[in-house]
Amino acid sequence: MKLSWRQFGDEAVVFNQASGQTHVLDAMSAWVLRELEMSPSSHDILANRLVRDLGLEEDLAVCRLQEILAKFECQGLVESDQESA
Amino acid sequence: MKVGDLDLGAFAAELGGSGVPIRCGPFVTRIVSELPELAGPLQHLYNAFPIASDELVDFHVRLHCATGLYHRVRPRVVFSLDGEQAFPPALRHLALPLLEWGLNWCVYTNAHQYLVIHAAAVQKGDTTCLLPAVSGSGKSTLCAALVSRGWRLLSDELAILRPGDGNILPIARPISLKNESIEVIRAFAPDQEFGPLVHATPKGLMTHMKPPSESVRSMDDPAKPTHFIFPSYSAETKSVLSSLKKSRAFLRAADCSTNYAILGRDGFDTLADCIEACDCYEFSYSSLDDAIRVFDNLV
Repeated sequence: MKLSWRQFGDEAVVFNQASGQTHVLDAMSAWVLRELEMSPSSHDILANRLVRDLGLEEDLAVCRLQEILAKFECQGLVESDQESA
Repeated sequence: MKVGDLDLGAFAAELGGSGVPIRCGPFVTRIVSELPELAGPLQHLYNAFPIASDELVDFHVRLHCATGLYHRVRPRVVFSLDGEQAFPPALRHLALPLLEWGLNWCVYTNAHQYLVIHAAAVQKGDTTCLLPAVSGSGKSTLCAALVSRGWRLLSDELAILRPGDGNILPIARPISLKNESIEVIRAFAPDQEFGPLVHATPKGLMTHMKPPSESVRSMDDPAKPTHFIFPSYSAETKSVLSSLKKSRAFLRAADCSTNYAILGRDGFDTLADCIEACDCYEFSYSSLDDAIRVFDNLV
């Protein structure tokens, strides 16, 4: 999937060339999507990075990550691979 | 040669014959019409526009009487592009608005080398404002008011953004006014010239304000947008200009574009470059005098 990005202050606008859809992402959602764009990752690894890199509490990181990934999946921005998750 | 350089008889003869190729910004449209009542208003509204000579024609349009027994009882007119009927026939008294709608339709259904946004665009000094809005938001009323107070008209209905440099290519066609806004602008700008009043259009009472000759003369000078302002008229509000997040402005501007989705990555890049370079606002207004003050303060 090819994404085009533009950062506007604390939000990002991303264009998904596959779907033709444009999305506005808050800072954390943008961070997650950029991570996944660089390489596929598991929920646990992403949650750990959120704790380590963004200084989130673990429970909050897990909870927010679930929300973000569920939204991305609905928007066609990510696909989950249940076997590796 | 300009449209106004021909006398009315010659203009009507050309219109009813091989047509008149009128250049509006980057587009040349050859208009053919056998309707004698169209020649006067068309020449009046477009008198400062150049007649193209050797240039390629982008759109061959024709307004002609619908044929058939039914249309003899209630005469109707047909707008066609390249010989193909574009819309269902309209009652004959709607010929001028039909032509204007048709010219807009030609641009937004064909001009995909540009990003087309449903927006007015005006300029004063180094300040160039794009005013994207849905129909009924007071965009054209505000545009007409600004133009009557010295702002250069770049566009009333469709702003043409060129990918690459993001410049607006002016088309400066007549400003479409509807219903209450007609008397509002006539009172606000009594020196302006208008086309005929057309009753009972699908949008109510309509007329067109003639574009200032200076705006037409400078039609070949592109303008770099500096402000994205989303206007809305509300009788109950004071004039309020409030800052809008660029990400939100992006989505709203994309919604107002007629071909953002068609252009794909080019549309995204063009709009993103433009939003990045502009200050973005929402603007609600009720008084045109206040609105002019707010806009003049941006210059």
